[in-house]
Amino acid sequence: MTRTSWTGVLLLVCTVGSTAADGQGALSLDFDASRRAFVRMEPEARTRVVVRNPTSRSVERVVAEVSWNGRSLSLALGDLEPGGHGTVMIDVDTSLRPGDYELEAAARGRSAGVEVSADTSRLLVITPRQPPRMPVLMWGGGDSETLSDIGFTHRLVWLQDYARVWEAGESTQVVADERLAAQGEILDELLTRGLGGAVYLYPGRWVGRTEGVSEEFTRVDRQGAPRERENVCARFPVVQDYAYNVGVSVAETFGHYPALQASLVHSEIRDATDLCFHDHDRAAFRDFAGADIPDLVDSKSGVRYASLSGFPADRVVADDDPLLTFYRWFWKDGDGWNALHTQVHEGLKSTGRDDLWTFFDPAVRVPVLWGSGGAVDVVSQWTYSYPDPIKIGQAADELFAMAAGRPGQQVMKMTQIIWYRSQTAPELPEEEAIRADWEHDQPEARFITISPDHLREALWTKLSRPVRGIMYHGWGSLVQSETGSYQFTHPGTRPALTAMLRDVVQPLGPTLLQVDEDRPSRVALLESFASQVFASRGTHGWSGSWEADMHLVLQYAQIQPQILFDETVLRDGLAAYDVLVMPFCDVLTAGVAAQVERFQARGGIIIADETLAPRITPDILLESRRRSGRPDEDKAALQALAVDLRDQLDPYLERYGESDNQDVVVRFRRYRDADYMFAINDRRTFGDYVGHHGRVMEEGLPASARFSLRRDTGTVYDLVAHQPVQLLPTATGISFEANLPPGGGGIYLVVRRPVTGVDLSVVPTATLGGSVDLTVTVLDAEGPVPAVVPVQLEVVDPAGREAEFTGDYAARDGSLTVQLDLAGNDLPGRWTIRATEGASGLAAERAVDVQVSSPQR
Amino acid sequence: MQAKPVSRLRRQTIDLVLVLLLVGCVGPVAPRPQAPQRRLALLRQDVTGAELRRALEDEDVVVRRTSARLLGGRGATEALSVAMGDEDLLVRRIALATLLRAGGEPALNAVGQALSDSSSLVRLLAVEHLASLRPHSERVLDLLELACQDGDEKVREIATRATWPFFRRALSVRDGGTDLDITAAETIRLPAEEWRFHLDPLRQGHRQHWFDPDFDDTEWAQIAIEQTWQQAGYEYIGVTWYRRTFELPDSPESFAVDIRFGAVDESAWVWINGIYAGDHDIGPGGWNVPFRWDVTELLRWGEANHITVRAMNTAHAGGIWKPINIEVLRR
Repeated sequence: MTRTSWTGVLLLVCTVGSTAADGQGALSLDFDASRRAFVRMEPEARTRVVVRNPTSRSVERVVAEVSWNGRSLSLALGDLEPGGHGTVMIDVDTSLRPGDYELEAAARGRSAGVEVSADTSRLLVITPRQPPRMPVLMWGGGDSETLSDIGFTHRLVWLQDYARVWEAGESTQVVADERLAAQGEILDELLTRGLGGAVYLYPGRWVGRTEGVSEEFTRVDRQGAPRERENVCARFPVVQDYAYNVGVSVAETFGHYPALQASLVHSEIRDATDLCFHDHDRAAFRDFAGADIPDLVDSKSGVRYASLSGFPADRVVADDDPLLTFYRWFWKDGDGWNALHTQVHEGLKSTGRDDLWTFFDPAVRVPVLWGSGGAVDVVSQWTYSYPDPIKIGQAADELFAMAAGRPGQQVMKMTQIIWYRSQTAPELPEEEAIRADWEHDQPEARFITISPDHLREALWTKLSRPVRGIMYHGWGSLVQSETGSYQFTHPGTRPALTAMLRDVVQPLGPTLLQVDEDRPSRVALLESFASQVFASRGTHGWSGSWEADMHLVLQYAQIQPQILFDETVLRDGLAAYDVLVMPFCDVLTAGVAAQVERFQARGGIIIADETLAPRITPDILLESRRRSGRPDEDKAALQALAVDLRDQLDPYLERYGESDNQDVVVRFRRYRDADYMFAINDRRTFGDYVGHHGRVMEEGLPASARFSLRRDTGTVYDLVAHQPVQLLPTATGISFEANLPPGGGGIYLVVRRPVTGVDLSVVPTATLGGSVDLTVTVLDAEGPVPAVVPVQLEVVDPAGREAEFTGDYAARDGSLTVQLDLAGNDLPGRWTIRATEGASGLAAERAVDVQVSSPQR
Repeated sequence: MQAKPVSRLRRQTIDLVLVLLLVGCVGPVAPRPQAPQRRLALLRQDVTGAELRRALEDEDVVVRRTSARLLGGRGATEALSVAMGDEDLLVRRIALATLLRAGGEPALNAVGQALSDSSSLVRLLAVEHLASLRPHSERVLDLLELACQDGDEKVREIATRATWPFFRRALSVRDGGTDLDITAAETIRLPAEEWRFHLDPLRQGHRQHWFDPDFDDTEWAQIAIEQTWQQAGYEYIGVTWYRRTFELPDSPESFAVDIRFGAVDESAWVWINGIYAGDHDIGPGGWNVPFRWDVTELLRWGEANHITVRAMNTAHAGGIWKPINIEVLRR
C-alpha cells in the first residue's frame, strides 16, 4: 500500500471510473469515506483519493493527478499489486472564499503493456463560519433544504450501529465500512446547508429492547421476576461500559465532522424506569443508606402518607426518613439512568470535542430532584401547547430549577408541533358543515398540526426565559409529507414558524444568548419532592396539574415566579424571597419546614392551598382546583384566582413591572442595568380549526396593554421593530403601551440612556489573504451602551455579494469585535461594511479598499 | 362567657374618632402604618398577647391570619375559639388547627362545629383530623358518617376512605418468594364489551351494595372496557362502577388462579361473586401499573361468575383501559 501526503492542495473529488480490458489490470478511484465539506479556516482539513487496483493483474508505474482551479499536480504511486491501493492525502485550503470547488482526480498506469486509467471528480465545499446563533433544532428528520428555508439550525441524525459496539466490547468504528461514506455524507450535506447534526444515542434503550441481549439485564421485582415493561437495569457495569463505548465510538468515527455538533442522549427513558431488586441494586442502596430497601417500597411512585400508620400529624418527616431516603436515592442515582447518560456524554467528549453539546429530554418528567440527565450539557423538555400555550413556561422554569443543581448545565425547550387529536378534536363532527377543512381531508388523522397562534405564543413564552436553544418535533405535521404517522393539517403553521425564526430568533438569538439570567424574582414557588413521595404530587413535566396552574395564576397576577426544589431551599435558603408559593405541599421534610418557618417568621408571605402540611400556616390560601376540560372556563377561573390573589397580596408585594391587561403577561431578563422585558399575548378564543370541539382555544386575538416599570429613568426600545417606544408620564416609574398581534409578543430593551449612535471602526485598506479587525460600538451619551444590543453586520464585496461574517451578532456592553479573514481568491476592490444596531436602527458604514497581495519572492 | 369581639367596622370607627380627637388636641399624628408594617409588628419577639388579640380585628386579612397563627403558637384557645367565627376562612382554619392540636373532646367539639362550616376548606381540615384518629370511637364514627354525606367531593373521599369497610390481603402465589417455577398455563380474557357502568359522584355505591351479584343494574349504562370512560363519552373525574357476568369453563388443571388487570386508571376495588377480592390504590401513579391477585377461592368454574369493579380517577382519563385476564397457574 502506498500512502502519500500531498499538502498545499485544495480539495475535492468523487465517483469512480476505470478502464480495463480482458487479461489486464485496471484502476479505480474513490474518496474512501473522506469528507467533502469543510468550514472556512478549519485547521488540518483533509480529504483523500484512493487509487485502487481491483484486478488480479498488477498495474505498474501508477501516477495520480489532481487538478483544481486551473492547477494540477502529479504524484507517482509506484506499482499497484492486484488488490492494492494507494492513497493521496489532500490538505484542503480552507482559507479560500466560501463556495464550491471542483476537484478532478485521475490515475494512470500500465498493465500487460497497455495503459490503463481512471478518473473522477468531486465538489468540495467551503462553508462560511456561522456567527453565534441560537440553536433551533428539529427533533427528528427533515430534508436539509426545507429545514434551512424554515430557519432550523440543527436536526437529529442517526449514525451508529449499536450491535457493532456491543459485540466489540470496546470502542470501535461505529458503523461498518460500507456505511461509513453514506453516514458521513449525511453530515457533509448538513454542513453545506449551514446546518448541524445532533446524533441521537440510546445505548441503554438498545440493550433493553434487543432480543438476545435484553433478557440478562431486565429489571426485576422483589421476587426476582423480570419486569414487564422494557427498561434495562442501568446499574449493570457492562451496560455502563457499553454506553461509554458507544459515545467514544461515535466520537472517534465521526467526531472530525464539523456538522456533528450535538447529541440527544436517551430520550424519554425514565417514564418506564422501575424499582429493581438485583443483588447489585440492593447492595448499592445498602452502601448508600446503611440499610436495606424499606419493605414498604413497592412502587416507584412513592408511598402515600395516608396509608402509613403513625405518620406525623404535622406531616413533616425527618430529612433522613427511610422511605424518603430510598426514593431520593432511586430517582437521583439508584435506577442508574443518570449515570448512564453521563457515560454517553463522557464518551462523546473523550476525543476532545468539548464544543459538542449533549442533551437529555424530557428532563423534568421525573420527581423534582436535581440530577436528571446526569452530566449532559443541556436539559430539555417537550410540551404540547394545548390547552394553554403559555404553560410551556412552567416546564421551562422547572428545567431551570433542575439545572440549578448542576452549575453550568443549560436549558433548552421544545414545543411539539404535533397535537394529539384525542386531546384537541377527538370526535369527527357528524354535521359536515361544521367540520374544519382538515376534517374533510383527513378524517382519520391521529396527530394534527399545532395552530399557528399557539406556536407563536409558545415561542414567545420560551424566549422569555434564558434558554440556550429551542426545539420542535413533528416534521410530518409541519410540512406536507407522504410518509410518517403525523398529519399535516394546518398550512399556516409553517409560515408562522418561518416568520418567527426569521424576524425574532435569528436576529435576536445572539443577543438573547448573552442575556443569560432572569431578573431575580422575589417570589418563589416550591415543588416538594417529599410531597411527591408521600402524596403522589408533582407535574412530572406535563404542566397539567395544580402546581402548574398555580404557576399560571401567578403569571396572570403579573408575578414572575422562580421554581425551587427542596434541594434549592436547603442549599440556598429563602432569604432572597418575599413570597413563597407552596402548591400541593402536603408533606415537608424537617429541613425544608424549618426554612419555611424562618422565612415566615421574618415576614415572608406564604401562599398555599388546602393541602399544605399542617405544620405550616399560610398567609394566603388559594384553594386547589381541577381543570374542567373547558379551556375558556378554566382560564377564566385561573384569572379570577389571580384577581383574588392580587387583592390579598398586593399590599405585601411590589412588582418591578407589570401589564395592565391580565391576558398580556410580562417577564424580565436582565443584563447589568438593562432590562429585557418580554410581553406575551395570551388572549385567545375558539377558532374554526379545532375550536368547534371546545377543547382548545387555538385562535389568538390582538391585545393592547400598558406596561409599567418601577425604575426611575429609562429609554425603551422595541427590539423586534428596532425603534424606540413612546413613554407615557407616570409618577412611579416608566410606562408605555403596545399592541400585540394574535399569538404575538414583544421584547423591549430598557436602558438608562438613549442610544445615540453606532461607531464602526475598521482599517481603510487591507490585503487579500489578510485579516481585517472591525469593532462596532453602540453608544449612548456616556459611551458604550451598558447592555447587550443586537447588531446586524453586512459585509459586501466589490461585486455586491454578501461575504462571510454577514449576519446577526450581539454587542455585549455595547461592543462587538469581529475579525474578517479575506480569502486569497476574494475580489480586490472596495468592500463595504455596514453595522446596524437592533434597538433604534441606527447604522454606520465604512469602506475598505482591498488590494491584491504582493507576489511572494 | 366570652366577650363579644369588637367588629371591624366598629373598631375602624373608634380608630377614626380617636384620630380626629388626637388631631384636634395635639395636631397632626403619624399616619397609621400600612398592613405590611402592622404585620411585621406582630412578628416582633416582644409582641404581647393583647396586641395579637387586637390584631384579630385588623381590616387586612393577612394581618388577621398572622395574628391567629401567632396566637395558635401560644395556645390561645380562648381567643381562637372566637376566631372560629371569623368571616375569613383561613382565620377559621388556623383557629381550628390550633384547637385540634389540643386533642380530646375539645378537639372533637371543634370538629363538630367545623363540619358545618360554610367553607369546604374548613370542613376538609376537620375530616382530615378525624381520618387520622385511631381508633375510631363512636363519636368519631358518627362525625365521619356525617362527613360522608358532605357536599364536597374531597371531604366525602377522605371520609369514605376512613370508613371503608372492606379489606383483603390480596396477593398472588407468584408474589410469595417461592422457588417454584409457576407459569400462567392458560389465560382467559374477560369480554371487553357489554359491561354495566354507573357514575358514583357521592361515593355511596358500596353502601348500597352495588357489588352484590343480585343488585339490579338494568338501568345502568352499557360500556366497553379496554378504553377509558372518556373515550366512551364520559367527561368525568371521580368514582365509577363496572359490573359484568362472565362464564368460566370447567375446572382446569391448576393449583392457583390469578385475576390480572392490565391497568385501571387509576385506582380499583374489586369484588368477585360479591366477595371483596382486593384493591389497587397507589395514587395517580397507578394508572398504568398492572396488578394481579389470587382468586382461587372466589371463582366458580363451569358456571357464571360476577365481577364488580369500583374505579376511581383523580385526574385526566379514567377506567379499565386494559384487559382483565383470569390466569390459570401451574407448576
